[in-house]
Amino acid sequence: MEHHPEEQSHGATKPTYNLIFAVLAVLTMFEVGFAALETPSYINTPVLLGLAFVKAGLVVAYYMHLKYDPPIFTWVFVVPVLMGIGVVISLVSALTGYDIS
Amino acid sequence: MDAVHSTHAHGHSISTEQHNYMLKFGWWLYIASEVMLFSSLIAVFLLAKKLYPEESHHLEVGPTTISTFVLLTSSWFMVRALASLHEGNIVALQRGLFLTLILGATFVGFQAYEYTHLSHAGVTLHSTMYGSAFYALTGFHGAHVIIGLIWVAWAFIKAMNGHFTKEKYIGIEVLGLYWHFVDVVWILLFTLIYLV
Repeated sequence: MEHHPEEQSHGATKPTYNLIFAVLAVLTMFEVGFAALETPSYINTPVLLGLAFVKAGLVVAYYMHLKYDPPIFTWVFVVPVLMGIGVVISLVSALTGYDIS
Repeated sequence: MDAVHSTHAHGHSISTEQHNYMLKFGWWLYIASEVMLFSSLIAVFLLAKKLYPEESHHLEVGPTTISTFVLLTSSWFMVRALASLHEGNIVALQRGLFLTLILGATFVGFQAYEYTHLSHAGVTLHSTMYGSAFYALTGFHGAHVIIGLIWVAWAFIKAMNGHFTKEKYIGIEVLGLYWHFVDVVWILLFTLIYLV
């Protein structure tokens, strides 16, 4: 966790929050535009998922202050996220192919 | 939630900083449990999407893009409200909470519109596994938004009554954690449901 002395002890400053919002808005517009191109799924899916994780990471790091909080808070969040990704991948892979409809 | 001074059962007093730290840690544990809940719902939805790819053609990306912007903006107002409180600007805190409330309610309105549109198109809770998974996932998220709205409204009323100060900020901070987490979940759902 990197701490910047010029920023408030409670997190980032309003200009930083404004910048993050602008980045989130631009990335969202890019996502929607990119999805409309209807590129093959092997390009589309990783690009759009990557952008979604970047956006989510920005909100968690700055708006939820994980960048400025003790590292234990980050671990409490990141470990279940990794477990959740594992649950999604394993469930979808395991059940694909079965006739459960 | 904004106790300046708390006491353990054994009589040991704890500082405000320790109280705030423990409260935030507890909220992060709660968020961790929510991550697992939504992961399970997302897994079921992705499976349903694989089985019924044609069902997602009924979804309207345009209105949902607008509602996504609305929720992102509400998160921006929320974090600015907390920053205003840290500056001691109570009027800006009240304004931020009010705008968050309005935008959150607008998001729920968009969701109600979408549900109406989809049910007319034949996508219902009982139509296919896709419908069940879609409504379960977005419904759980919507319920979180509604609970958040009640909490924001309560915080707004307390802010109007002068409950929060530069020193008594933790109630707004944990509300912000909850609200931003709901935003984070939607960022992922928007991509998984509507874009890929």
